[in-house]
Amino acid sequence: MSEIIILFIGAIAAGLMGSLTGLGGGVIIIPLLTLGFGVPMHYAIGASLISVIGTSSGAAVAFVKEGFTNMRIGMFLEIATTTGAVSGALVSGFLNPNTIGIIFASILILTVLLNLKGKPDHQEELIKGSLADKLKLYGTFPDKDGIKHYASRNTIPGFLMMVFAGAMSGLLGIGSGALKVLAMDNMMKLPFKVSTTTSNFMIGVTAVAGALIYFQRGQIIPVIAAPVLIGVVVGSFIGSKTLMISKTKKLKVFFAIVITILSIYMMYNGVNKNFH
Amino acid sequence: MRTKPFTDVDLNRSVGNLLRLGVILSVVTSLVGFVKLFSEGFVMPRKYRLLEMGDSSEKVWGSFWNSLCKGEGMAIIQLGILLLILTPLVRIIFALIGYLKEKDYTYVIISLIVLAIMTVSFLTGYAH
Repeated sequence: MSEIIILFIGAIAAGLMGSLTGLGGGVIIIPLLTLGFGVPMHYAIGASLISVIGTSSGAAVAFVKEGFTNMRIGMFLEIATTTGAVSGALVSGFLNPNTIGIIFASILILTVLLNLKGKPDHQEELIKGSLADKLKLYGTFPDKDGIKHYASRNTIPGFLMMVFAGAMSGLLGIGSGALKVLAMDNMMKLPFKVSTTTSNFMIGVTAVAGALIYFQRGQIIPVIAAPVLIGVVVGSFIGSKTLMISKTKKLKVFFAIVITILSIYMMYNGVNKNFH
Repeated sequence: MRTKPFTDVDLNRSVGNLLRLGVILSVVTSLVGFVKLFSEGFVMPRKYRLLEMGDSSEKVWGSFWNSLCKGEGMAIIQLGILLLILTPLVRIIFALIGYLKEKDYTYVIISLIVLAIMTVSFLTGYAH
């Protein structure tokens, strides 16, 4: 009973952080389960994927209503992320837990670097006749000065980056929101709020593509996954209430420090073969 | 009676509500499962490895159905998790219907591709 309550409390924190950053709760859940509780790596990934679905769906309720989520861009890029996720989940079945731990730590460090690099808030005009035009990868969002228009650029590089983001999601059980936001912000040049919320929206479907494989491999353990899920839903609900009012700069610095410490710790344990 | 055409705003609203419903259903089902599980006298084993659900998809589904038919807590929690997994899938189907209503056939096809990849995921998982 007490183990389940501790799992639950940890999951609330993970859900809150996952929702605030758009990273998904997995970044906190995997180290917590594997190194904190000694849960086998693949069970942790399974539980994390479930929590990631919860975070995405839970927060999407608020985000979709705010009007920033672009469902067409999301749906189009989901072709890429789900393809990646299936491959990642299949590869993960053949990998040693310590190898996964080291890959996890590397992706975390990459995430920190990406987050520290300042993101310009793009707002591009639509190029008539471009792929983005044909696929309707454009939209509007509400702003204090009225309705703003934006459109996507570099559709193909963005799409390929999304395949990679999906693969990391299926391999490591994370939402890989940072990679998704990278593809949408830096490559496709979408406005920050659109990329963050659309990324969150896609994370759920991506995680399902991976979870279907973990579930049938017997790696989604109900008594681990469910408390994690419920905690994460509670945490992400709190998070979705604060995203629109919080100052992103302060958050970024705070999360960069936390995630750096986590990735060093994961790397150390991976190298010393402490994962099961 | 709906007189105005179906728009993205309608689609967004129904998708938002659907996702919320899926999460709530899943959480409530899992909680019921936990109450049942602890009333059955469940104790968390010392080693998490002992919680294994079977190493093939046939065993996983087989023990799930058996356990669910007996109304066991573990299977009820599993059902809650499956409900959550289903939510984003139903979301894609909702979006597909929305795009059909909007007569946006490019996105009808894109939604179908995503659904096809999900089917592939399920089947490759099943083949393991």
